[in-house]
Amino acid sequence: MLRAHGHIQLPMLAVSADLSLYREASHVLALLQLCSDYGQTGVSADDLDDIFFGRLRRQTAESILAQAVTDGSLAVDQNGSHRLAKYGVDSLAEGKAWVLEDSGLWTLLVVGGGDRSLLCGQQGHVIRQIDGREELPNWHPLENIPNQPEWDALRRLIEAIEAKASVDLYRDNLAKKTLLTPKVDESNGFRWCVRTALFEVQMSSSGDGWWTIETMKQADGQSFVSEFNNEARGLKVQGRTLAQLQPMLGLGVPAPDGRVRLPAVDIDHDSLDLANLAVKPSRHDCLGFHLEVGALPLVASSAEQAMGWFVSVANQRLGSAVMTITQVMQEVDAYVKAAGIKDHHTSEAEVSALLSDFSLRSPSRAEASRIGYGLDFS
Amino acid sequence: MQEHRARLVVFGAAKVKAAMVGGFAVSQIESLRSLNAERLYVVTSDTDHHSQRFCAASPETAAEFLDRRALETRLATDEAMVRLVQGHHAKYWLAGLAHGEVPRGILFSGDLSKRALQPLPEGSTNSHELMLELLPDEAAELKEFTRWVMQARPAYDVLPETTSPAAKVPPPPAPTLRRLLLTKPTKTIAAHAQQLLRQAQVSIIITAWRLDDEDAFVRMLADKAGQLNVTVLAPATPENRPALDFLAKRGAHVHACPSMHAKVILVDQDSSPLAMVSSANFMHEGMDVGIELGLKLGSDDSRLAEVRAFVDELIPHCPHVMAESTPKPKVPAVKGSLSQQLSSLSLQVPKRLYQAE
Repeated sequence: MLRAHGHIQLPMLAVSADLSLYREASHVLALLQLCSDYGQTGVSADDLDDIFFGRLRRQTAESILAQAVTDGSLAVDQNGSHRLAKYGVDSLAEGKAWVLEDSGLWTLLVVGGGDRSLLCGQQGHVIRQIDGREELPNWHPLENIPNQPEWDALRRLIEAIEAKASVDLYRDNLAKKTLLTPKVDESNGFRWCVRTALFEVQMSSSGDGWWTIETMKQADGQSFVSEFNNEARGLKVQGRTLAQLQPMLGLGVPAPDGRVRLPAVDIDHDSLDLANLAVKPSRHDCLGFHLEVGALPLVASSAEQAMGWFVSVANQRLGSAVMTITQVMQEVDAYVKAAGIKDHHTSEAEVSALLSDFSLRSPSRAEASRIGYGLDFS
Repeated sequence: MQEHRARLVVFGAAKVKAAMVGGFAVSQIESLRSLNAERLYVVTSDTDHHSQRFCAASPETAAEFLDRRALETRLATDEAMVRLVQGHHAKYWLAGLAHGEVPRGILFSGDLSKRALQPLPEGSTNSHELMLELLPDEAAELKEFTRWVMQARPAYDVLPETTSPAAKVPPPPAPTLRRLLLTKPTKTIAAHAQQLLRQAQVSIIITAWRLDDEDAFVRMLADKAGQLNVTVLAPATPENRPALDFLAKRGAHVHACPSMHAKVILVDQDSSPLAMVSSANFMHEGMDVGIELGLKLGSDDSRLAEVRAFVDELIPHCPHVMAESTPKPKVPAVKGSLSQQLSSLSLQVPKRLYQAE
C-alpha cells in the first residue's frame, strides 16, 4: 500500500453560474429533436408552447429555449426562430443533452489539470455551492492571478468555461461532466473571483494506478473551505501523480493487473522484500508529500526472474520447514505464480539443482542437511 | 572403544554427499565430525528423558541424558538434521545415502554416547559394544531402511522446532529386506532369534543389555538351557535379575557382565555357527514394538569371527551368577539399588519437545 500525506496549496475559483449536467431522456433532448425535425424553418416559442404545453405555458417555453441557447445547443435568429447549433447536433447524436441543474454561486477547488496540481495530468475540480451572502475573504479578481505554474490549472479551467466546454466536477464523490454558464453575480458584483487554500491531504494507493484521497483538512484559519473536507474524501483519481511518485520509489510503472513490474536489472534487496513478493515499507519525500510505501505486489518479467527471486529467499523459505522434493516444487510453483507468471511448472530436475546448489552454499552442515532432505529422501 | 572410534574415522573418511546415523540417544557428537559428508542426518528416539534415565546403564549415563536437549540443539545447529522418531532404537551408520551414491554401512551396538565412544574417567568403564561392517547388498538394504525410518511417524525435528502433532499420514510400506532384520513392522528379528534357537544343536551364547523373563524368546531360551549348552552374558542389574535367575535355574551359564550392551545370539560356534546381531533387547520393546535393526550371519560369513572373538574375550572376565533362592521383586528395586539411585536424582520429566512433519 502506498500512502502519501502532505500539505498542498490549491487554487480556488468562485463563479456565479448556471450548472447543467449532460443527461439522457430529458425535455431538452425532446426540444432538440423538435428543432431537428423543423430544420431550417426553425422553432419559435409559440411552436414549442403549442406542441409541448397545449398553448398553456408560453413563458416556460421561452425559458427552455433561452436556456438551450445559453448552453449552446440552439441558435436563435432575429425572428425568434431556433435552430440546432453544433453542440445541439452532437447532443442528438449522443442521445444526451445539457439539462439545467441549478443556478447560484459556486466555489471550485481545483485539484487537477496542471503540472503542480494534486492530480497531475488529470482534470479534476471539486465543486460546492455556497450561500450567495457568504463573505468571500481574500478573494481576488481574475486579473490578479500570478503568472506561476501553480495557477495553470485554474487558467485552463476558466478557458474551458469561457469556451462553453464541459469540465469534470466531483460532487458527492462522483465525477460528473458539467457545463458551467457564468453570469454576473448581482449580490457580489463579480464574474470570476480566485484565491488559494492550503490543505493537508492524505492519499493511498494499492499500486494499481489509482489514488484515493482519504482525508482533506483545511489549514488553520480557513474554515471557509471546510466543506471540501468531505467533498474530496473518497475521491479516486488516476494520473501522472502516481507516475511521478513511483520512479521516486524505484518501482517502475504499475501494470494494468495492479502489480508493480520491476525492471529486469539487479534487485535492490534492501528495498524489496522478495520473500513476500512485496515492496518493503519505506519512506520517501517528493513533491512536498511524505510517502510511505507498504506492501505492493510485485510481478516478475519472466519465470527465470521469479526463480531468481526464489533462490534469493530460499534460505528463509526452505529453512522454515523440512520439505520433500514435491513440497519444494509446490513451494516454487506457488512463488512463481504469485510473482505473476502463470502456467509455470517447476521440474524435479530444476528443484534438485536448486536444492543441491543451495545446500552447498549453506553456512553449516546442519542447514545443508535440512535443505538437502528433499534430495535424499524424496 | 578406541578401536571402534578408529574404525568410524576410517569409515567416514571418504567424502560422500549424504550420511545418516541412527541410535537410541545422543550424548556425544564429536564422533560425527569425522564423517566426511556434505549432509548428515541423525535419527534417535523421541523417548522422554524419564525413560532414558531408567534405561541408562548408570547414574552417570543417566545424567548425560539431562543435557540431551541442549546437545541435540547444538547438533542440529552445527552438524546434522536431527529427527526424533518414536521407538527408534536401531543403531547404524550409513555413508553414501544420496541418489547415485554407493552406500556403505556399519552396525554398531553402541549409541552416540560417551560410554560407547569416548574415554571415560578412571573408575568408569566403557560399554562392551560390537561393530560390524555391512556387505554392499546389506548397505543397500540399510539405505532402504533409512528412507523408511525418515517417513515413520510420529516424529519430531529439533530444528526447525516443531511441536504440533504430526499430520496423520498412511504408514510407509515396509522396506523389502533379505539380509537385514526388523522388529517394526515385520518382527523378523524375533522370528529369526527364535529360529536360531530352534536350529541350535550344541550351544547358544547370548549377550544382552536387557532381558525380561516374560519375553517369549527368553522362555524359549530357558527351555533350550536344559538341552544345550546355553551361555548368557548380561548386566546383573535388578531389572535383569528375574530373567537371569530364571535362566540360571533352568541350567544356563549366566555371566554377570556389567557393561555389556551388545545384543548377540551365537549358536553352535564350534561346529556350524550361525549368529544374529541386533539392536533389540530381549524384551517386549525390543522384540515386539521398537524400530530395531538386526543382521543375520550365516556359517560362511567371515564376520562370525569378530562375533566369536567378542564373546570369547569377555566370558573369562565375567563372573558366574548363581540363581538366587528367593527371586527379588522387579523394578522398583529394594532400597539402595541402582534404580533407586537413579530415582534419587529427581530428574524432571519434560514433555515431548519436537515433532516432525
